[in-house]
Formats: sequence, structure tokens, C-alpha cells
Amino acid sequence: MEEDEIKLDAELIQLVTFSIAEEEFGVDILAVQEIIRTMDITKVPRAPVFVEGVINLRGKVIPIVDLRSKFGLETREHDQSTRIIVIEITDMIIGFVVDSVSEVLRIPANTIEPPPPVVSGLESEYISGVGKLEDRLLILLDLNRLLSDDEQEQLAQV
Amino acid sequence: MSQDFLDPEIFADFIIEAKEHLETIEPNLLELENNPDNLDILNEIFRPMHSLKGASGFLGLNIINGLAHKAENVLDELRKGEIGVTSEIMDVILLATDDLRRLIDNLHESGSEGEVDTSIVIDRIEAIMAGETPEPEIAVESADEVEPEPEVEGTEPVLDSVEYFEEHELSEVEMVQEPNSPESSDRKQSYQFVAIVNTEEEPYKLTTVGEGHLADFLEEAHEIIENLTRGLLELEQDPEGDEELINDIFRYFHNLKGNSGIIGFRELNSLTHEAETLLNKVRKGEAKATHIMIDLLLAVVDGIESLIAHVTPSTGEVQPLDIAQLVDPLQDAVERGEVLPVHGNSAEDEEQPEQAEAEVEEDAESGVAEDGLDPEDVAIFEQTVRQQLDNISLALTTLDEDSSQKDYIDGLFRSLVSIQNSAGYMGFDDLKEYGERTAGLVDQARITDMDFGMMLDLLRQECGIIEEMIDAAVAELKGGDGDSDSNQEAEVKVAPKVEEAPAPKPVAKPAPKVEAKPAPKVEAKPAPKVEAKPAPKVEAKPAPKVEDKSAPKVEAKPSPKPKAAPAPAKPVATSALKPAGGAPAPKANKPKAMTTIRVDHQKLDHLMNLIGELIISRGRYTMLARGLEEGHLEVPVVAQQLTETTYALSRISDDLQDTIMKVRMVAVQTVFSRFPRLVRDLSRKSNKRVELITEGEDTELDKSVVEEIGDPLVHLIRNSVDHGLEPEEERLANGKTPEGHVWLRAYHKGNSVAIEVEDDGRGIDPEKMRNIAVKKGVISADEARNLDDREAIELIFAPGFSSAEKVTDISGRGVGMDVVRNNIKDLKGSVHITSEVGKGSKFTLTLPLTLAIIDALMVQVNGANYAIPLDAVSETTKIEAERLTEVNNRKVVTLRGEVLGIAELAELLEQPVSDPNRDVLPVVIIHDNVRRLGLVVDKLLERQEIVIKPLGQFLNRFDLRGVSGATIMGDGSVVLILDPHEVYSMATVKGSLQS
Repeated sequence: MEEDEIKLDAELIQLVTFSIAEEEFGVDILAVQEIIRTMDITKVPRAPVFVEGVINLRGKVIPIVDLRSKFGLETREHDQSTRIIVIEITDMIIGFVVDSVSEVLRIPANTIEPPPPVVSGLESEYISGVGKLEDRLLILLDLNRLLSDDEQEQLAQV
Repeated sequence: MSQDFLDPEIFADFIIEAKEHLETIEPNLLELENNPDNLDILNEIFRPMHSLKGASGFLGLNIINGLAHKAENVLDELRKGEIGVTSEIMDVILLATDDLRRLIDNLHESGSEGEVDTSIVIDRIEAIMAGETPEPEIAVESADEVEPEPEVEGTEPVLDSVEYFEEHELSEVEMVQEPNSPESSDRKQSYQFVAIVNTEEEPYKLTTVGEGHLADFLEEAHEIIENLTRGLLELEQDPEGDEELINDIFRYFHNLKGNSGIIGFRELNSLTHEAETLLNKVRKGEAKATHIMIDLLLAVVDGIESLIAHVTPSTGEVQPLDIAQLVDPLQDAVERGEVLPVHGNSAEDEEQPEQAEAEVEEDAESGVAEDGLDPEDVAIFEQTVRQQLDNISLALTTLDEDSSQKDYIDGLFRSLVSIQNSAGYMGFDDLKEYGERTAGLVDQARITDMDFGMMLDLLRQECGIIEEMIDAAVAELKGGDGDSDSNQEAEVKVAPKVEEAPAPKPVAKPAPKVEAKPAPKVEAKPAPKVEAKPAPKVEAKPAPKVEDKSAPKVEAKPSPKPKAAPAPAKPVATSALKPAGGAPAPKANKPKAMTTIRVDHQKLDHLMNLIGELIISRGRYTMLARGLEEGHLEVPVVAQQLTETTYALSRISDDLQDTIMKVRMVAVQTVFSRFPRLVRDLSRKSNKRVELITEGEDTELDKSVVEEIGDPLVHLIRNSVDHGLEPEEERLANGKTPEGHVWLRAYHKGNSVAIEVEDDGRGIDPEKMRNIAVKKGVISADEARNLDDREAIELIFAPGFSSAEKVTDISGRGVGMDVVRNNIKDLKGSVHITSEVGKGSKFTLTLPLTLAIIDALMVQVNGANYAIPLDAVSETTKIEAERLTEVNNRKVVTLRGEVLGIAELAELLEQPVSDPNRDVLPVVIIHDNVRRLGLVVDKLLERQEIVIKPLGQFLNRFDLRGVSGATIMGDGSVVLILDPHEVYSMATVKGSLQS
């Protein structure tokens, strides 16, 4: 029993944290391929609103998803601190637009709690957990669910 | 299981080769059907089938191997003229090739053979080999389903079977023996039945009442055999378990015994009697159903099958077989109440598989390659193992430097398993076992994550031994003198492993092993040399069969024939290793079959030259840059040289592109070749006589396109035969030839390739299409009225649409044609129909030569650039806005006397129109086959060659109609590529929906 706890204590997870509309989020660093500054985005006609368009990432065309509009928040112009987090999920490479990227954090796995039903208006289905830091909360995003959700939406439309 | 560990390269090669083999086999089979006497064609079929069998056996692909082996047997019989070519036999062989293809496809896609039930085909092949009429009912039955009037065709099968019987009578007597499917089962059986004709006994007649009686008996016997096999396999899963099951099996034997008694089938009667007795004991609990017993019983079933196969149905004569090999162990088992492992003493040595005997004898005596091993196999074997040895030594060297290199550990493991498989196939059981052991060692180390450094010494020694064994094995295969020596050596070398075998488990102590090795080597050598030849295999056998693993090994060592040991020992060994290796190993090694392409050497040379030039150009740029920096070159000179170099560079890159494209091109022949078969089958099924005429098979297309057009073409051809062509009477009534025609053509059309499927059938009636579409709710009545005839015919592509009044098993379920269109669309191509009622229909697929690079026209709409494939652009023009008129809610303009629909591209793309009140509209006229549409854009830009990039999986989830991909411009920006075909349909949908 004691051993277990010690082991859990030792288990640190590394997260890339970023902020969207005053809220701080984290994703597993292993999923993050790179973080790039925003660039010219080619709009894709007839795509859902949260798809901002496509960019050229070293010869590869990758789609860009605006997390603000995905979360139903007000969109805003890109600025100096806007970043695109390029993430590889289930063989897809997708760029997510965030307001800013803060830091890389190591937090013990046992400080992460299951998500409460509603976190700051964001539906908890996208959230895999909430990490408690000393002075604030960190929302851990479940990117897989975030994307598979689109599919269902799409199906519902058809 | 074993294919999980194959070397991916060999694996990929196998798949390519296998596909090629099947491709040669099929057309030749069809040809053979027309020229049954042509021995050359038969040989053309036999050879690839044989190679396929060989290669699959090599890789441990048991299902493929078993099936190919069976097919080869039939072909061999045909070749020898012992049975005649009939369409039934062709059917069965074609079925076998189908199964093989499916298996290979599975391999290709998932890396394993997958679940294909080959037993039906194998049964039918066996039936043919046995001289039975292979159920012609199938053909007749399905014909009945499809068409009620099979008068003309219906007689054919009957004729065939009569002919078949005649030929068959002649051949039956000559059919002396055939091994009864030992390879077809992927289980390792310790008991096997080999059909040996008992020459001392004359064939005798069964006491049947007429042929019907015999036929009934045979039919029932086959049924019982099937049930028995199934029951026994089930029992094997749970030997203790089901009493009911044992009762069933008992009853089957009992029934068969009764039946065979009635007709006086002595051998069968006594065999089933013994089996029944044994099972009765099991039933009463006096004996236990062990795995060995089940093996024996399965061998009995094989025996029964073989006995029945030697009954000549037409005469009722039976060729007696030697059944003592089964009866004896059965009696023995009854006496003891248990089945003993395959023994070498007393009468039981007869039950050794004959192959093993042959093998052993030949090893010892002549050294000639064993039977069934042709020089080709030997060459492949040698090549494979040598390659693996190289891999191993590379892996070991690398690991020596850095023992944590997981890749190399995996590679090492794979190589060992490959050696194991190859050796197993070639019958080098000792080598196989050794490879397996060493592989197991690596596997365990791999799983337990131990430091590999500690094992390297050990492994190096192990691999050294393997290498020596391989040398010996190869020497043996190649014949030559002293081979029996090397043979012995090989066997003796096995000895050390015996002691190591238990050791690898605790893995981490290499020390004792090192000591152990030299000793036995030296000692063992002289002894067996002397004893080897006189002492036959008989002695070797008893030990290994015992369940316990380590103990018997030690005993086996001194005996000269460890050869026989591995087979029975194998299940034990694997089961010991597998659980440990279990989950993680297969995952890590799942071979994702590569697709490869064969390239003409000259093309490669040319590419090499171009690369050379490319490097020279690069050097020139560096030089020019330095010249500028250092200022010793005048700017105008540099500028001029820059221009020149850029020209050179563009020439090189064009040439590169061309050459690479050519490398990727393959003739559509590869796809077309499967259709004669398809049409033949369809024609038989639907009872229509159909002739397929193919043209332009050598037209070349990008490999990726060729790979994808197969399925759509299958749909189209099915559609033509099933729906397009009328039944014969109807054709005659309409003054057509009784035989329907389907044309399959490929030809170049500008920068693309067109493939046509045309039939001379009844054609598509637009009025009928409208009615059905409305009835099925595909469109509303209003919409239907608005469609012109061409659009009405295109309704055939609507999802859920099927105009067939009845669904046949060929087509008519309304899923085909929309799939066709989607597939073609994915290939950036389009489908187009022309049809005339009563005359026929023609489907034209237009496909791009290559998927990668296209010419495109760039246009600007609402500030963004788009690329329109130039293939689809017929012209660009400017039109004064005032010339536009509205017809039926669509904007049109009369251009050179032709009415042309006009649409705002911005509107179609759901973008705001930047300037709705322009006076002059730049228009791109696109064409989707013969239909044309003018697209209003903001600005016409230049024409450009673009590289197509996919939009990716994520965006494909959304309905992005009108956009087919993206490309990257020189400045790094992304430009979307429009799909003219979709743009056109979006424009018309918009038009008709507004109305």
C-alpha cells in the first residue's frame, strides 16, 4: 500500500500548458509535435467554423482548428502571442490555435482529478482531468474526444 | 503465428510474387478451358502454382501452402493426363485461386493469412482427385435461381459430367497413391495416414445394389467424415469435457462401420470398427481422450477419406489400401486404454509419415535432394538463410557496441525465426528447432528487458552453430560427396543445444554454457558417425515425444537421428515460449507489408545521371554565390549565368519528373486480366452468353491509380452483364446476336486516360430512371421533371438507387454505382455514361495519368487563389454581364451559338461575391465530359504545374464538396484545388433546387 503511494508520487507527467480566454489548459507533451507561430492560413470553403483553414508545414498541408471557436468562445484576431500547437492524434496531424503557450510543466499524476461536470462553461466531455497546482487549476484536454466529437456532429448533420 | 516474425522484405517479395503467379494462372486457366489438350498452357499453370506452394511453405504460411499444394496435385493429374480437363475442375481450381488471392490480400493488408475457409475447395479438390463428380449442382442451382429458363445452358453441366466419368474410369486404376492432405491441416500431427495401395490385394467389387446405392453410401460417408473432423477438432479444444461430443463421434464411426459392412467394404469396416472400439472405451471412462488419441483418430479420418477416395463410383470397385498403420495403434490403444506417442518399436513404426522415412533414407544414402524439394526451393532456401545470417551477424556486431538497440534485437529475432521457418520447410528439423530455441532465447531477453550485453557471447556462439548447421544443410541439399558426413555433422552440432535448452530459461548465466558446448561436440561426433547409417530412425523417435521437455532431449542427443524429434517436440517448445512472448512481441513485429514496384534498370540509371547533373547545378550555384560575395564576378555576368543554371535546373527537374512518372506507370493489363474470369463466372451464373472484348491493355497508368480502379470496374462490368445485357431470347427477338458483348477499353485522351465499359444490351431508359428515382425517394417528382435525359441516366449513381426489378446475387442492391463514382472521384477522375435504349450503354471513366502532379489553371475568387485542373478547362473568356440571361433559374449565355450555363464560383463555394455588379466577367469554362459550365471568377491567373497534396483525414470528415486537395505554391502558401466534376454537380443541384 505504502509502496503504491510512493510510486504514484514519483510518477510525473509532462504537460504543455497554454491559455485560451484566461483559462489554462494542458496537453500531454508526448502528443505535441511542435509549437509554431501563427502564419498565413488558407481558408477552406464549406469547412466547419472551427476549422480556420490549412497551412503549409514544411511541405505538408495540415488543417488548423481554432480552439476558441471549437469551445464556443468568441474568436479573436491572431496577435504576437498566438501560437499553433501541432499535435499528432491517431495518425492525423492537426494544428490548434491557442491564445498563448505558457510553459512545460511536470506534475505528479496523483494531483490530477477527474473532471467535474462543468468547468467554466466548457463541457466536461473534452476534459480528461483537472490538475491542481499550488495556486491555480489546469484543465487537461482530451484531444481525441475533442476530434471524434466532430465526426458525430457531422454524422448528425447528415 | 509464424508470419508475425517474418522479415518484412521477404514478406513483401512473396506477396508480389504470389500476386504475379496468380495473375499468370488465371488467364491460362481460362485458356485451358478452351484448349483442354494444350499441355503447354497446363505447364504454364502448374509452374506458378508450384512456386507459390514452395514459397508459402517457406514462409510458414500453412493455409496458402495447403491449398496451393492441393491445386498443384490436381494440375499434376491433369498434366499426366490422368484426369481430363472439365469445366468443373476449372471451377474448382479457379475457386482455389480465388481463395489464394484472398489469403494473399489478407497477408498484404493485415500481415496474416486471416480467416479464409479453404476446406470447401480442398474438399472438392479431393473429391476430384478421388474421381468423384464434383457437385455440378452448384452451377445448375444458381442458374435456376437467376433465370427460370436454363434450357440451353442447363444441359452443359450434364454433358461435362458424363465426359468426366468416362475419362475418369480410365484413370482410376492408375492412381496409385496420394498423400492424404497431411500438409493441408495446419496442425502438427504426430499420427499421419499415408495412402499406400496394397498391391498384394486385387481390387474388389463392393456389393451394392446399383449405382444409386453406392452414391448414397459415398455421400453419407463424406458427410460423416466432415462431422468427424469437426467433432474431433472440437474435442481437441476440450478433451475432458463433453460427453455428448464423444458419443457423437462414437456414433459417426458406428454408422460408418455399419454402412461399410453392408456393402462389404472390408478395410473401411475394420478401420471404423477399431476406432469405434476405442471410442467406446473412452465413453465408458476406461480410456481418456488425449491429444495424441485425437491425433490418431484424425489420422483415422484421413484414412477413411482416402479409402473412400479409392472407390470407383462408376464400377463400384475398390482399391484396397494398407490400413494396418492405423489399425495397429488403434488396437494397441484399446488394449492399454491409452494412446501412446508415436513409437518406433513393433509394428508402429509403420505409422511414421512416409515423407519422413523417405527423407531420412535419402539423407543417409544418396544425399540427393529430398523428394518434393526441387532445385528452385533449394536455391531460395540457401539465399534466404544466408541473408538472415548476414543480418544476424550485423545485429550482433551492432549490439556489441550498444546493447540497447531494440531494433537490432528485434531484427535478430526475426532473422532467427526466418531461419527456423525455412529450415522447417526444407525438413531440417534440427536446424529448425535450433533456430526456434535461439529465437526463444532472444525473445525472452527482449521481453524481460534484460541487458542484452550479457547474452551476446552466448548468442554469438549459438549463431555460429546455426551457421555451421546451415552450411551442412546446404551442402546436403546440393548433394555432392561427403554430404553424409556433413549431414552427420549437422546433426551432431545439434547436440550442444540439448544441454543449453533448459538453461536459456534463467538466461543470465552464460558461463556454464560455454563450457558445455565444446565437450559434447567432440564426444558426440565419432559415435554417431559409425552408428548413424545402420541404426534407422526407429530408435530416435521414442524419446522426443514424451511431454517433458528437457529430459528427453538429453537422451536424444547420442542417438543419431534427432531429426525426427523436433516435429513432435515442437508444440511443447512453442507453447513454452509463446506465453512469455505473447502479447508484446507480435505487436511490435507486425509486418506492414510494403508495396513495391519493379523498375527497369535503365530508368534507374537515367535517374542516377539526373541526380549527378543536379549536384553539378548545385555546385554552380555555390560558385556563383561565392563569386558575388567575393566580388570577382560582375553582376551582369552572374545574372546571366544564374539564368543559364536555372534553365539547366528546370530541364533536370522536368526530366526527373518524367522519369519518376514513367517508373510509376504500369499497364492496365494488370487489372484487365482479372475480368475474363469475372465475365465467365457472371455468364455462367446469369445464364447469358457473354463475350468480353478488351482493347488497349497496354495503356499505362500510375500504379496507384491502377491499384484502385479494379473494384469500380468490377462493379461496372457486373452491372453491364447483369442489367445491361438481355437474356438470349430477348436479344434474338430484338434482332441482336444471341451472345452479348461487353467491351473493356483503355486509351489515352489528352492528359488523362479513359477506360470504357460498353455493352450492347438494352440501354438505360431515362424515363424509367426518373420513375424509379421518384418511387425510391431519391428525388422528388418536381426534381425529376427538371432533369434532362442525361441527368436522369446519371441517377444511376445516386446512393440507394437500383433500377433492377429484382435483386440477384450478382448485383442490384443499389450499393454499387455510387461506390463506383466515389472511388473514381477519390482518384481525381470522373465517370460518364452514354446510353441508347435498345442499343446499349457505355460508361467512361476518365482518370488522371498520375495522382501526383497536374497542370492547373489558377484563378482568384474573393481574395483567395484556387487551382482548377487544366484537363477540365476547355477555355477561358470574358463575358459582358449584360449578355447573361436567365433560363429556368439558371444564368446562361449564348457563346458561339451554344447555350452555356454560368455560375459564380464564389457562390458555389459559399463565399461572398466580391463585386456583384461588374460589367465584364472573367469566365473559366470547364467541362465534365461533354457538359460545359462557365465559372465566373474574380481574376484569371496563370497556368501552372502543381503538386497535389491531400487535405488529410481530418478534413475529409467534413463535407468539403468542390475541393479535392491542396497544393503548395513557390512562396509557401497553400492553394486549394477544385474538383471540376463536383463543382459542376453543385452548380446543377443549386439550379434544380432553386426551381
